[in-house]
Amino acid sequence: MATLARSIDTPAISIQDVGKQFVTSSGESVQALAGVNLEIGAGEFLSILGPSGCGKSTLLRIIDGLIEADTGSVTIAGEPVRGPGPDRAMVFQNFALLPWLSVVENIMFPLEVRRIPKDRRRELAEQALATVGLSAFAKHYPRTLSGGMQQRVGLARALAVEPAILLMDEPFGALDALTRATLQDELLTVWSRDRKTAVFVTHAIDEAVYLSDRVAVMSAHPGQVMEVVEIPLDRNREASIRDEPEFAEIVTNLRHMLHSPGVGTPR
Amino acid sequence: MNLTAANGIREDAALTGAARRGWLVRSARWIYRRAPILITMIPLLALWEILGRMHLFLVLPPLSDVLVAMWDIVTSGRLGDAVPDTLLAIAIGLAISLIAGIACGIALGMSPLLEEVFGPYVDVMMSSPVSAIVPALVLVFGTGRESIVVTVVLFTFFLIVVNTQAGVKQLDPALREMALSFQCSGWVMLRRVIIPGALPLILAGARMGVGRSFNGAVFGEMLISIVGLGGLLMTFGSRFMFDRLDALIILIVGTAVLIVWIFELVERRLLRNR
Repeated sequence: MATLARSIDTPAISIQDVGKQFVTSSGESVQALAGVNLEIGAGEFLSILGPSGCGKSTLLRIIDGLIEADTGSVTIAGEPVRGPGPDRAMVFQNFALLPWLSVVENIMFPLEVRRIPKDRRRELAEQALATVGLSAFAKHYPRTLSGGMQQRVGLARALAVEPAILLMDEPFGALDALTRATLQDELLTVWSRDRKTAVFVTHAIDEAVYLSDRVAVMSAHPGQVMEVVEIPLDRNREASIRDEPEFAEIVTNLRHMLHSPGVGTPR
Repeated sequence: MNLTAANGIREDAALTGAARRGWLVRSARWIYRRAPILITMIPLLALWEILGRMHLFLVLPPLSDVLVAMWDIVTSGRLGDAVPDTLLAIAIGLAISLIAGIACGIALGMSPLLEEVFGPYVDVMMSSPVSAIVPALVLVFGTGRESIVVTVVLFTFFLIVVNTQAGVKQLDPALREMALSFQCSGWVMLRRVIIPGALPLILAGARMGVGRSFNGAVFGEMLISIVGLGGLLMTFGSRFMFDRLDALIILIVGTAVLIVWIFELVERRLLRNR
């Protein structure tokens, strides 16, 4: 009934035995991640689902190269990650738009960093803006846009650099439920066009199920991948799929998994 | 955030509306908005005139005498030499402070090590009575303009360093992370992220620096070389010409306020989209 996970035999991202420790300001050391193993296939949409504090955002930043792992390794298409690279682009939870640049300038910013000629920059930025349906707002400044629109700009900025891998850190976490649902559908539409490898961090179970081919469920203290669950739903998803009993069943299963002992955040 | 956005839009709308109605309406609006200070100023000025006429204090001649003295000073050409002297010292000193101060502030704001090493000195200099050092400057820089310029620098440099540093440090770490994630670094990071992010506080520092630079220049001139506006103040003061002294103080403060106000306009223009 479903076209199952993309070919894992050609992993785009391979995470092996990754561990990371942080020292808090009070001198306490916290094991954010321990022995994380995960293979993400090329063209796959994988969500990392877990309670807050389980290190899922840290894991995403290690994949992006913003944070270095203490132990283990991350390789992308066989190459070890040594820092941020042009093959990856990130969408941030609080949008991270530069408030002093207009919408189109914000999207052009990473292209400027990459020394793409100015005409081409504008062209790519306008294309990306059209993709998220914000062409009319090119000259607006971020503060005049709603949260949903700001995150569309954040998504357009990531798409404009034409990355092979799209990394998203709770991108809809700061949005209201209605806007979130709309943006989930828009994300699926955009993703379906060229099926980039997508890694999506979230703590919302239904969001992970709705979007993903597979969901990696994480537990906290220390952050570990407990289980990787395939989502056996048809890949052509519409909002109505949420009403299917199968959808509810998967969500329930994942919820039980998250609430099993050792997963929550006993502090 | 939503609130400020709404205010911004409303302000913009008010501005464009006013622009259409021409300058007459705009000045009427300006007066209306300033009405509280304009109205409260009248009794204060009257009190000045009355106290002056009672000859209670030597340093407080009647306001009318001061205004006459002001007219005298301006029309007699005595300002002809003093004003360019002082303004030039201010311009040079402030330029040095801005360039060096912003550079140092960015360095301190970005490097925890530099902040650790040099931060305490900046704090000490911020709260130390710089004026005490000024007479000693003569020994190093002589009695010429150099000493006045150095005084202006001493009065403004650390203020600009501290503001720039604070501006860099209050920059949202998420923005820096975003830039790093897109492989931004070095000069582009500085020019496109760090400096624009710190700009509101850099400009605030510059604006405060303008006020202090007048202070520094006049003070230096009074103590060191008796030239420029400071020298003129000394001359009037030592000859007990308090009407002229007060008139000149008002002129200096007025000029400083005017320049600060211009900086404010530039500031508002540069930050209008935020």
